[in-house]
Amino acid sequence: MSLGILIVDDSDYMRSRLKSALGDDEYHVVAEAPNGAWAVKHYQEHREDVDLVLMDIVMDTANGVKATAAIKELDADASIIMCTSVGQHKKMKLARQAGADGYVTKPFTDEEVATAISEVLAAGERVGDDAEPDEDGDADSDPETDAESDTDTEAESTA
Amino acid sequence: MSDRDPEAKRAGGDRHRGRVQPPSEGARESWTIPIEKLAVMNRLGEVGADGVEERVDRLGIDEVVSEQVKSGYVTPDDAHTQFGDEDRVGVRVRLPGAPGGYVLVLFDPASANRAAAVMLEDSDEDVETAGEEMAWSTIQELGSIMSSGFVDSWANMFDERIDIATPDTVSNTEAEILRATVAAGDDLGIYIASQLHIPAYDIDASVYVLPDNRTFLKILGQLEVGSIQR
Repeated sequence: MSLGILIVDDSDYMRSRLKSALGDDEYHVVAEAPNGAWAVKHYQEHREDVDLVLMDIVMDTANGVKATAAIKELDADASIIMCTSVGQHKKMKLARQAGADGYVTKPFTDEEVATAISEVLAAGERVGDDAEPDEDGDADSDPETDAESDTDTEAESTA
Repeated sequence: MSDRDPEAKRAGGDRHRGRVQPPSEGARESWTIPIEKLAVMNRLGEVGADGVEERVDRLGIDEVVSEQVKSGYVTPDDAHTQFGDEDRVGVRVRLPGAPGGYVLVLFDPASANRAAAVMLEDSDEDVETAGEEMAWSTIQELGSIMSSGFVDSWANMFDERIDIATPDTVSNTEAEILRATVAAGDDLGIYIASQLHIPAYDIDASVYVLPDNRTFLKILGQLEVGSIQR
């Protein structure tokens, strides 16, 4: 099944570059957001379509760290990978603290993006296996795999 | 590519607009850089240039050669005697926190076009049909990546966080872009310049860092050349 990706970047070029890196087979782009505020609104309204968010950091209207924190507040299980030219260790730490699950530094290869997505989604599934069902009963948890507890993966999920 | 930076465009019409007030005697004294600190400045430039080179290397576009060209002090009035009148396009990135000031990444127009074409090959766009907006966006992104490479290398070396704003595109002569940038701040003038060359594509770029003078002098005062690891 093709995974729905929300791309958040204020650069026309970078959104195009990310679409190229994602290809057409495993992923489809559900929306392209030019800033963090747009992304949070879209996630709020269409969260069921979004399997993962690729988030830039430096943006004018709600930067990526703020938008990540806002989306995580809406949905603690949201999968978010920071995709940014910022490679400062302290900024990466800030992004992790805001809830980012992974980090890809620009410029990137297609493989680096694919690997980061796979790792974050795999870690999310493992964490999700331990989660309680949501109020609506259709939680990310799979009843068939709930018994396969793996509690030590969450801390490692940030690339 | 057209001139997309209103400030630079305005400044281009009057080369001597936006003069900064000369510093007071006390302030001028505080701008003095001890000669032994020039080596520290050079080393900081090399560290930053290495960061840019490492980042551009990751584009996978062959060998990148970087070298520090010069460091010094420029005022709006003497920008045209220190820098050239050749056309340049690129980005200006403001550093909202310490060390403050700006980073400029400038290309000659032919290099900018070649760099944009190389980067667009990796995107969803058709290089032949990509419009001017996309070309500018590509140069803006490349400038952002290169300026981040410089700033990140300083941030990681100092184990500090250096905030950067979104890049603005600039287009004018080298001297005019430098003049307008120095004039845009209250306490700018010190600069470190690095040159970058990508032989395989004949792409040349220059990176200029213009930190806030007092903040930068304070940083310089705390550093010894031997303590800066490349």
